[in-house]
Amino acid sequence: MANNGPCLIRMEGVTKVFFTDEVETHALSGVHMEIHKGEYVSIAGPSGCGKSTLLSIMGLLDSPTDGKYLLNETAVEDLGLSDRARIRNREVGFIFQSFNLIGDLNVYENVELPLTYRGMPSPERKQRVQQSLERVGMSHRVKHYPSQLSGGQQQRVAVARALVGEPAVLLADEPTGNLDSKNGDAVMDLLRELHRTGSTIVMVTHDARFARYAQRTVNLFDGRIVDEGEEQSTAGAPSAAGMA
Amino acid sequence: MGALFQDLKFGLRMLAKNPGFTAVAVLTLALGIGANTAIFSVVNAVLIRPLPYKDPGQLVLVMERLPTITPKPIPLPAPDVVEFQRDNLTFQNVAGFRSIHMELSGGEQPQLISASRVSSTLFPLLGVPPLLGRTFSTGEDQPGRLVAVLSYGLWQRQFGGDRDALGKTVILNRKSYTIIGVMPRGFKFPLEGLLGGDPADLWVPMGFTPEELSDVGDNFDYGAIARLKAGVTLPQAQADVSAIGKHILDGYPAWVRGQFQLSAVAVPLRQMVVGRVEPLVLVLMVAVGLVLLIATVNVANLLLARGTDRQKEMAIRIALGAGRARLFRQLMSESVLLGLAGGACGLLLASWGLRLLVSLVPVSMPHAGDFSLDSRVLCFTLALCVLTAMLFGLAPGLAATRTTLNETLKEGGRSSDQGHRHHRLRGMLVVAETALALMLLISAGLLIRSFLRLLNTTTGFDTQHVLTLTLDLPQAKYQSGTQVVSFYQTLLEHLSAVLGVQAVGAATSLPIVNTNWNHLFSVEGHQSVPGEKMPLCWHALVLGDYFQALHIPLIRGRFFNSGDRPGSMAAVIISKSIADRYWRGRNPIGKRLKWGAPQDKSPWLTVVGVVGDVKQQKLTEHKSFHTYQSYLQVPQYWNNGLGRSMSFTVRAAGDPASLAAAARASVWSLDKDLAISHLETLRAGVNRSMAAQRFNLILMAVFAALAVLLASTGIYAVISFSVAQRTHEIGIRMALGASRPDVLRLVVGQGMKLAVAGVLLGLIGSLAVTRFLASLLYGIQPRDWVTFVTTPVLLVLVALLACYIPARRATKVDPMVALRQE
Repeated sequence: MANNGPCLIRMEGVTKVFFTDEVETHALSGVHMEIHKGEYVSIAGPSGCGKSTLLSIMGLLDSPTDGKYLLNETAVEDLGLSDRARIRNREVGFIFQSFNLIGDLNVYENVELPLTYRGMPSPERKQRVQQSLERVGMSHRVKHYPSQLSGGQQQRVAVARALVGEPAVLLADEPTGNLDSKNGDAVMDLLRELHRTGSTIVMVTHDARFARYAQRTVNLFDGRIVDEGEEQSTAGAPSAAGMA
Repeated sequence: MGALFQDLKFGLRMLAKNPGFTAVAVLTLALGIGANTAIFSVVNAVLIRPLPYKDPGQLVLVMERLPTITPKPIPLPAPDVVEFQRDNLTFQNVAGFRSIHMELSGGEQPQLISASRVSSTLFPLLGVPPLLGRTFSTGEDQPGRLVAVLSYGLWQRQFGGDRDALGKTVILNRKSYTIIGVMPRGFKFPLEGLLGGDPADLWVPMGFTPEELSDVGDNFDYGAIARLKAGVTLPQAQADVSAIGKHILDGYPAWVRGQFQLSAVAVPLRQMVVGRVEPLVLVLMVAVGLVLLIATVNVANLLLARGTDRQKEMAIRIALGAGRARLFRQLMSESVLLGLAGGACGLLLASWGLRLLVSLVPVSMPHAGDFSLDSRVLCFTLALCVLTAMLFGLAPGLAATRTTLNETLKEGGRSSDQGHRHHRLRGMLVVAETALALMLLISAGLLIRSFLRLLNTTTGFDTQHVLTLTLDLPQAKYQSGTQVVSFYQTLLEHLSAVLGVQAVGAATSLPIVNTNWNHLFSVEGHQSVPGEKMPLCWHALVLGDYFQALHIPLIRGRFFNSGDRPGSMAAVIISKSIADRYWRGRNPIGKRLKWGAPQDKSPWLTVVGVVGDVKQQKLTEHKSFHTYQSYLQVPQYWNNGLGRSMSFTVRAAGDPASLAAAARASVWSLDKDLAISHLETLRAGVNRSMAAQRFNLILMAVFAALAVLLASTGIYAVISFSVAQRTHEIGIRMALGASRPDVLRLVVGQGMKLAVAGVLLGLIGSLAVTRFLASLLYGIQPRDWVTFVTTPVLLVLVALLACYIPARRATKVDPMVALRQE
């Protein structure tokens, strides 16, 4: 293990089966996995291997068909919808490939949204949102709507939204998939910077170039972990010159 | 609270961002809520608002029942009013009243006004004090007391609201009446349609005359209103009046007791006022409720379609930690905003609709002029907005919170599984609204066919080209019967001389318009079977060419002629129905009948003619017996209430309305102060009798049209949305060789499946509900097969059109473009 901090995510024999009519599709088969606080893990594998399903279960967007899942030492595999929503709001920050900003909310409102659902008072929300946007370099665009931003800017806003609630873990699903290489690099630099400041990051990517940013890569194939290894160094990873 | 405010703010932004969607949804809701508000204002005024008297729940009408004559309770003869006033044990007071018309002269033009003769106890009994002056004292309960209490309206019209009107006089029936009081604004008595009267413009003392008090068992024309004593229940009052009724009946001659089977009843005033219109108003409320339900379903459908576009937004919110309850609340906030906007516009529509309602409403509808958007109606509308919003927001709200996160959050952002679920739900809603629309359409269809039957019903007389006018000669000027008959004969000559007049007649009442007189009669030589009741006939005294003016055919014998004079053989003309009943296959001419029982002292009347059957009271009635006597042969009636008032029928060669000025001039050339009432075409008078049916018909037709419009819009929207969603699929089909007709069939077929399912469901629903319309129909059954076949076909055709438009758009899909836009 690359990190000896306390265990944040522990999965034991996690299985996910999708049932469509009479067809069973095994997306995950007995996945065992541990991720420690402060770790930067990438999950790689070919298309359809179960990467996104694994990330969804980690982020409590989905629940396993079988197996155990402990998040921050709490068993979460059998929680009800409202408990999962609450834990998701407090412990997990999502960064999606397609940014998933709400088009009818401006930058400020998008970033504020998780805190609103947390029931945080408005002055504290305001402070946190500003800090978060400053951290990703988007504090000058608070009134803009997503459609008025470039892809790179949208993803930075999405990162700010993921960070604003100070979650235990950031889950990034192909965060560069919709970006050109320059903006992709910049986002990866941003994640690396977050990792340096203590964030735990789990990233799904099929791009080996970006997987190298992580400390550890988990390779999936047909719903099973087939290989797990530590990256040699992240120092040689390309650095972002800037984002559009 | 802050979160709610945020939800509302976002909701407003979403509505503003989609003006097309918002406009359609708000307009749809406005139609539904507006129509409901307008009809509820009728319900409020008619059924909910308390009657305008003190403790109206304690007020009852004392009435009598003559089951052998009519199943409905009827007013009382004058002596019975006195008996109930004197002998009751359960009432604080009993007041008699009788609606009359009085000639008000002394102004620019004489006019006939509605008045009411009332006991001095009436106003204290109703618990309404006068605005000015006083009401009648006990001492004024005597014949010949010339004092009057004015209504607020007449006080304003005649005296401009001058407080000095007290003590002044008004000329009523050519006598000076002193004004002793003015009632407050809004006070009405009797209420519209109560015992066939209109709200009075003024009240005069009842003061029963000796003649009236001698009318034992005759002239059931007097109302009796009573207030229960404190602590007395209706059943106790009922027992009390029953005992008095029995006592009254005991005083009748033996033969009358057998025929009359009289009993007395105490009926709550409210029931008498609103009971007869309650079914109509409730049917309208249900109908308009269905319209709102369809509008609600339509908006739910729109929201579901929009929900498909907002799936990703919902998924993101859930991913960020929004609980489903929180999301549901946000969506419901948006729905409530829509509901309130729809309600606000609906209020505007309702205020316009109310004006239309007031112009259409039958005059006999209680509180017809009092429909308004008062605080109760506004509360109802507000509640309706919120309830409607809950209804149309529920399914889309629940559907949106069941977003499949994984698929939705991925690139493309729309879960196909969810799309299908939404589509299925939208389809079910379309089926439901089509079914509801068909139920309304069938109901309206039944009323339309019923009304057409009514229009084409045979009245027995020709309503075209006839002008009518009614006169009531005041006794103060025409003191003898000779003066009365002389006036009417002279007027007959004057009217006959008017250019363009073909025939002129007069009668004590006109069929359908103002029939008011009936008799029990006996046929000479008729052997009654045990249990056979004495027959009842409507009766009129006629003068001049009455039958010719109305084109009532002579079937046998002769019309009246100059030989039918006092002292000559008492002649009667009977209706065909009487001839058929008592002299079937025989010649009735020369046969005799008399009023009352065979042993009664009234003279035998000899049948001199048989005329065609004429509907007497309403167009919907079946044949009823009726008889005529020559006015000139019955001098005993010339100088009483029945014979003083005559309705003239003037048959014109052309437009009868063009004779109105000449007819008025003819009357005023004989007496410039004589008030003329009902100067109108006979057609207008008969049409007035159909006002209730016309009111039902127009409203139901409007509601049905709205329902069809909304349902077809719903079908159109669903198919249109489906075509937009299936563009890629259609592209693939076309790429694989589907022709345009194939695509047309595919899309139209999809819509028509929904429409046909809705129609089948609607037919089942209609079979269940149309029986409630039975009391409003004439000449057709609630399950009239013509309506049950034609209206579904009509609805299917409309649905076909609604499907065809988007289907045509689908056929124009360019496969190349469609395949690129997955």
